[in-house]
Amino acid sequence: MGRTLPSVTQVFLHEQQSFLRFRRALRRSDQKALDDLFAAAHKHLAAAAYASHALPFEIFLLSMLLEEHKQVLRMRYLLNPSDAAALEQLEQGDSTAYLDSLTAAVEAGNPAAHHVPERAGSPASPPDPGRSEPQASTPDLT
Amino acid sequence: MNTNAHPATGYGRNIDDSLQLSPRQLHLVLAPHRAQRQMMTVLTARLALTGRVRLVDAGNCFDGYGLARQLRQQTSYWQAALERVSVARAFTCYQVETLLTESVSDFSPVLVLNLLDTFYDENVRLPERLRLLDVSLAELRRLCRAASVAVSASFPTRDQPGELLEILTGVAGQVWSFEEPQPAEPLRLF
Amino acid sequence: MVELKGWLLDLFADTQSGIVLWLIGEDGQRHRLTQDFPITFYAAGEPARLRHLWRFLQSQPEKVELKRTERRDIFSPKPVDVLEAQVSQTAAQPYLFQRVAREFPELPYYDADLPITTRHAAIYNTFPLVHCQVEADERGVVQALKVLDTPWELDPPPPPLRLLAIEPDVDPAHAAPTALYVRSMSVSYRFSLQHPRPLLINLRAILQRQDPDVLMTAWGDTWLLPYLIDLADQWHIPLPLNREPGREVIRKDERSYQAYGQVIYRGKQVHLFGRWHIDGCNAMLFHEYGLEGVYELARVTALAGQTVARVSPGSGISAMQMVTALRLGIMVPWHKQQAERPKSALEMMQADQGGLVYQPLIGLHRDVAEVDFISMYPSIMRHFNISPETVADPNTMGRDQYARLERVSELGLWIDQETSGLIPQTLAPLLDKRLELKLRLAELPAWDPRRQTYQAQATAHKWLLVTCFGYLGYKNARFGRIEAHEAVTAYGREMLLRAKEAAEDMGYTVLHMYVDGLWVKKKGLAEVKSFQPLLEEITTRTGLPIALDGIYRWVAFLPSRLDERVPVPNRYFGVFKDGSLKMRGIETRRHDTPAWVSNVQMEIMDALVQASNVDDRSTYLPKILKSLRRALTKLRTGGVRVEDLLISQTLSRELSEYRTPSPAARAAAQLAAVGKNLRPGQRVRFVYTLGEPGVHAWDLPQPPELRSIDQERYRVLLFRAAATILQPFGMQEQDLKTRVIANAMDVTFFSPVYLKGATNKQALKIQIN
Repeated sequence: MGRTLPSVTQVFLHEQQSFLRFRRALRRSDQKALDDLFAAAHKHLAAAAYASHALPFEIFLLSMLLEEHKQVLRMRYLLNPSDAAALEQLEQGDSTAYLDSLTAAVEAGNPAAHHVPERAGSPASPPDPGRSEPQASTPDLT
Repeated sequence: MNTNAHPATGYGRNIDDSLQLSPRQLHLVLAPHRAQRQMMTVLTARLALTGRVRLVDAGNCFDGYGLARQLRQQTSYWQAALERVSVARAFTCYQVETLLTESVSDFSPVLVLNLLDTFYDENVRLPERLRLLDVSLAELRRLCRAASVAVSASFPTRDQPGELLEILTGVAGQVWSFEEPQPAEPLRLF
Repeated sequence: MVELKGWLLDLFADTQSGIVLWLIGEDGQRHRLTQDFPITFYAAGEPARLRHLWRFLQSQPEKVELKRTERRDIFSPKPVDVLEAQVSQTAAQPYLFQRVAREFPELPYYDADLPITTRHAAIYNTFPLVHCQVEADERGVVQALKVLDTPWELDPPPPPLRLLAIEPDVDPAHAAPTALYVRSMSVSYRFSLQHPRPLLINLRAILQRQDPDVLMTAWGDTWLLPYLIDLADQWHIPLPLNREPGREVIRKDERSYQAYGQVIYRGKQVHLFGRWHIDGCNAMLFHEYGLEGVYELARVTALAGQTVARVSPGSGISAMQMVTALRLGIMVPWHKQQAERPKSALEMMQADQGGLVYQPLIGLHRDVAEVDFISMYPSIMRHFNISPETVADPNTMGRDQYARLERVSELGLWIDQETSGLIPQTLAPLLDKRLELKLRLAELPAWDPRRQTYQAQATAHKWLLVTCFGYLGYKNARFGRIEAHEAVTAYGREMLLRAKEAAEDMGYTVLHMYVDGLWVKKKGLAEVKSFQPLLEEITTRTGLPIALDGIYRWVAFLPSRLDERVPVPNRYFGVFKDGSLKMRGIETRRHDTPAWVSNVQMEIMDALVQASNVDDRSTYLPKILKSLRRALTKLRTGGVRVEDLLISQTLSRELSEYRTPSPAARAAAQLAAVGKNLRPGQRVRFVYTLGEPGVHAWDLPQPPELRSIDQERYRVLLFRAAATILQPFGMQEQDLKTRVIANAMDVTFFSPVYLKGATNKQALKIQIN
């Protein structure tokens, strides 16, 4: 019915296969880690499809990086747990509450970190540590 | 008419160099499906580096991602090059005829991918398919007068009528034919 | 002059001139009427050629009235100059046109090969089973015709159809039938096939006495009627299968063809004149909506009942489009000529996509709401006015036209909003009726007899609507246009994303999304009414109707069979709050799963549904292990019927084309060896057997023996099916096997403490003795 270009899944498999030689020459344990990366990228195929990027592998790489970062966040959090509810949500795949608490923690500790660069002509004023800054749109890591 | 027969080994730079398009000629690239697709992608990329290219995809085989990768390797302005490639698809032999009839005679090269594919559809009577092929080839000759035209096609299978390809080869000015290499005798060590 | 009121049953070209109409009168009689019905078709093209065509037509024996005029072609902005040919003798037109097309093959033709019922519908608003009023003269020639209802009414007074059913006592593909069962509303008979003469005489008498309007059969197309017709010939006892005197029945050959990416097989067909023959075994989707569905399809598509029962829904949609086009004065092209407008390679990558299909969050989730757009693609077509003629390229329009256009998100496409398109106009009444029907069904109590009818009608509508989108992009669809198809998917992706954003803005977690539906949850929300604000917000942001499919008590999204980390979009199962199950992609839903396995899988699901606490294994695991053990014991001791071990697979190509034959191909080869040749697209049924060739086809004269069944293969299938269900609950296939096969221990001996949360731990490795 008019589908000409391969589906994102087919493109993904094709990309994965083009790395088979590289994979083969890796140690067995490294192969497993590589497979994990590809499995991670697999979670975001729908967004990769929607992106309609002419070079899809760039989006797959970004997806791998995205999942890696989520792991880092999870581990950072596990080292410093303070909110059971946020942890449970993290386990469910929803990082919103955790990220909110992160940014709140950062602001509380270091107001300078969120200093918004001033535009020409506007009066410079340090942000009020007591008042929470308007959030930059929180990326949802679901 | 020039016919060069080559073995379809190692698609890539070697083959690409030999596919030089001359003006006012109807070129035919005859090869098995995958080789055909690859070669036409490389050819499209080369042409898109320097100008507009018009593709008529008559076999639902346009390799968009392959084209993007090719261009990326050859220029940092690969997105602009990609935008210079226009594609129109034909899913029936009627649509092939319509697309070619509606194509404007201008200077940008025209590449037709897998021209004969839809003409092998048994749901359309053979006399009708032959008529449509004749009209399509006449339109291609018209387009030849101003632009370079290259058409790709594959060899018919056992069940497919051979006359369609014969008609096409009869009309083509330059034919590049790539056959499947015969499987080599396995080397024996003892 | 006679005035008749009744229901139109059949309409076809008369042998002499005009058409025949069969009317079921309100007076209880069946009336045969005729009507003048000239057929008009058009030819366009170069004026010189049209002049030749004019002369050619004048030289033909048939009476034709010719005229030069202008008419609308949907793909042309301006009307097209055409030659109009009106053929006075209805039956003659197809033959005349064949000659014309052979002589002048290059001309575009319009309105050349349309079904008669379609033409009639366009002029008189008739359709099969329409309630109408007719004025006829003393020879039965219709002078005036007025319809009294429309296809869109919910409860039209039903025509008093007389039904007769005939079926053989066994599937003729499987074994030779020995008797026929004949049933009507009042009587029921059994006739032996060993005595043809009394059979034929009785059958003839029954047909004459009962005079059915609808003849329902099993295998009537492929075996029963051809057999009876041959028999009648041999014995010189003609059967009045047709109600229309002096006609042979219409026979059509079987064929296999490629469509929608698969091979489809269409069996032989037998059509009658003056009554409907419906073969329940050869009718399209009959098991989905039955006879009531066929009635509804005939009404809504204006295709004859016998036709609509056998063609794909695509043909139904096409017929609906034709009626709308004819009524709007738009010509229906004979061949699809129109082709895609060139796009840049980048635009191609953006446009050539389907719906958004996400990867779900694998595992078990509670209190999940499934929210679906109602008939998303058709609704989009209607709401955004997407039609082949409304998709515009602004470069070809004058600047003054721009205000009429609405841009389709990222595609270089613009949709003309001013004139209502052909497709939206065709779909609107169908969508409205579907919605009304859904509302009615929601209100009706479970015992109301109208439920069954409404259900069948709703299913028929669903199939039409589901197909109309694909049809829009179909290469041979007369009113298809790939740009329109792509615009629909672009809107679909956009609207799904807006729904996701609405959900996330309102604090929901989106677990999964699939083209036109989302699975969402929010802590603390588990009631239907709590989700109302979300539904309203989505409708506000998208303009499309959306509904809550249900709230799951729990739903499990399954991973890929090959890699547990990889989510799969279309494999899941769950229980709604009301206890009903929904499952996709798992074994029970697949044709190639034997009944023995599906039954056990359903038992397992049931155990989970009944479990009081799905977190505590002791509330369901013992029952499940028992089911599995029982099933395995039955298999081992030969207590499972061979029928329940049948695998059903489709033959995807001709036998000769297989390089390594699949099990289905091997079974088909066995059948071919005894003269039963299967075509691509047909199903083969077989069981797995020990040794070579490893299969035994079901329809062989020698049934397979229980002893030869390859039990191990079936055990593998069973465990796989069980593992599919239990994996989200933390039980791996190996673990399950261990527990089941260990016959000594009953799991309930262990305290629930050990069973709870034994997810990854092999803590309960039961020793196999």
